Amino acid sequence: MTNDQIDDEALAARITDALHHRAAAVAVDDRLDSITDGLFAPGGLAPVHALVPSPPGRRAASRLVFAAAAVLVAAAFSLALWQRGSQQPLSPVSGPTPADARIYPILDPATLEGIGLTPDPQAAIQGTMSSTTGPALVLRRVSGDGPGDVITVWVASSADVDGVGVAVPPDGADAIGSDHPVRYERDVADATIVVDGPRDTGPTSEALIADLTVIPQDGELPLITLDAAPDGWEVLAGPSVPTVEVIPVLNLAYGTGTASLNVTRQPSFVPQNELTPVQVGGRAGYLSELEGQGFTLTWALAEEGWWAQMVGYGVSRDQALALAEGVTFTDKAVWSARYPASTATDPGDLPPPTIAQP
Amino acid sequence: MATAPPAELAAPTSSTFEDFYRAENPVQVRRAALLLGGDEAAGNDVVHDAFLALYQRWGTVADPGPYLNRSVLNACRDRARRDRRWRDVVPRLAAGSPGEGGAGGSGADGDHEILWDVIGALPFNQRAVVVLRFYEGRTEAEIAAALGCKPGSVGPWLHRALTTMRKALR
Repeated sequence: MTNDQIDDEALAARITDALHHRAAAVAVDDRLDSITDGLFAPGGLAPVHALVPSPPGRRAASRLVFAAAAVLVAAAFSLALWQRGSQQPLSPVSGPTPADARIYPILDPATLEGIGLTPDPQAAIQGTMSSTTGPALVLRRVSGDGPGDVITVWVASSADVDGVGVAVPPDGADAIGSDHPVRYERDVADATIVVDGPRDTGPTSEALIADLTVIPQDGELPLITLDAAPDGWEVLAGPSVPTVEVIPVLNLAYGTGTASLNVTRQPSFVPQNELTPVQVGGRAGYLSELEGQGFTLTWALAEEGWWAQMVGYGVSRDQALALAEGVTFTDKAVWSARYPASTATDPGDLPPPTIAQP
Repeated sequence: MATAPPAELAAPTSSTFEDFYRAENPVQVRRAALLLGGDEAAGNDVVHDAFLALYQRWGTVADPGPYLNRSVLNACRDRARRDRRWRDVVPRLAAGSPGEGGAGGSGADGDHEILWDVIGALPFNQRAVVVLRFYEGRTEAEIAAALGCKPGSVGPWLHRALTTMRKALR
């Protein structure tokens, strides 16, 4: 056992002790009547619960879904790789994810063991639906042409934002490594504006998020406008209407780490120097290392315009490639049957109740 | 003349809800208070609101435990976000008054206070991971599911939190 392990165990014990000590001092309000009484009409009549389903599209747009984290990371990653010089605008794709398209990922649990990864006995593979938020504004450094020369502005429902894996402290300090972006957030009504930029653009990103004009939209994500691009930057796309698309995600848990795989719709994709071209299932893919912690692998699906991206921690290069090779893509009906519990515990899946007194 | 509501619109079965409430309320309040930096009142408020929402849907929720967990965590996250904005404006107030929960003391109590001060100052996601891991003993996959984030996020958050705490204890 190393000194670090001893330190970790000792620290863990001290943290556990401190938390239990603190929790024991919390006074609990246990007045049940403060919950039940407020819903009963005078005279003791029972409430009537009438469930009114929301329109599907509205629910999809407003719902706070499981792995927005992976999706935003994937989208930011993809944007950074967008082809420079392409005349194709970077406006977000809208519309529902087609149920009959074979873009819903399935992985056989035996695949994990077959490549030397020990499946987590409690939750080795979980399928969930997630939402991806389209960018509202993309800027590029006038003198730049690499992945580190793009600032992206997102508009997302507030709870979609906190789960982002590259989230950094409020002061904008870099959290993971030099290649990861800084992020600044600005809360507006029920949404959050997020600015992602390369590490050296902290002041620019901070000023940008302050300068944006936000136009609230009743029941929808707000629109943003920008009077002028910051010095040294040009608007590459937008501002455009932010959109939300619900897509499938596969989360993997194994002994040495975790991985998240999601699909994303990208009509154009060009690799940069730091990505290693690979083949996945005979199709183009790109691999990049997560600073010694794992790999990100992006590859094209048979469905035109769709890409899969897997962010895997605690895997080798060969294991990342083997995992990707082991994933099959099917339609929504088959996928939903395979992962039936994917959304059963999400409160957002339940229609909002209205209460009428008889 | 009053008519009975249809069976599918019947009121919650109060005894069942009460059992659930009695079992879950203390657990949820203590966890929420920890997630909210030790704010006991806020913890009670958040859990009360979550139970209120659940009560309105009682009978339509297949598995109320995970539902309640998610509701409370979401509410804590929203509250932490609002609190963070407030702290940005009045950092001294958020730090607490002198002598209140400070790093003083000696022995185990002093250690608890130092650790707790650091935990309370962590960004929400890091604090949540610490609480769920070390207070509730959950696995990374369970934490990811509870927080609605990808499993790969949990490790880096925990690593950063532990690094911060280790520095504070030097």
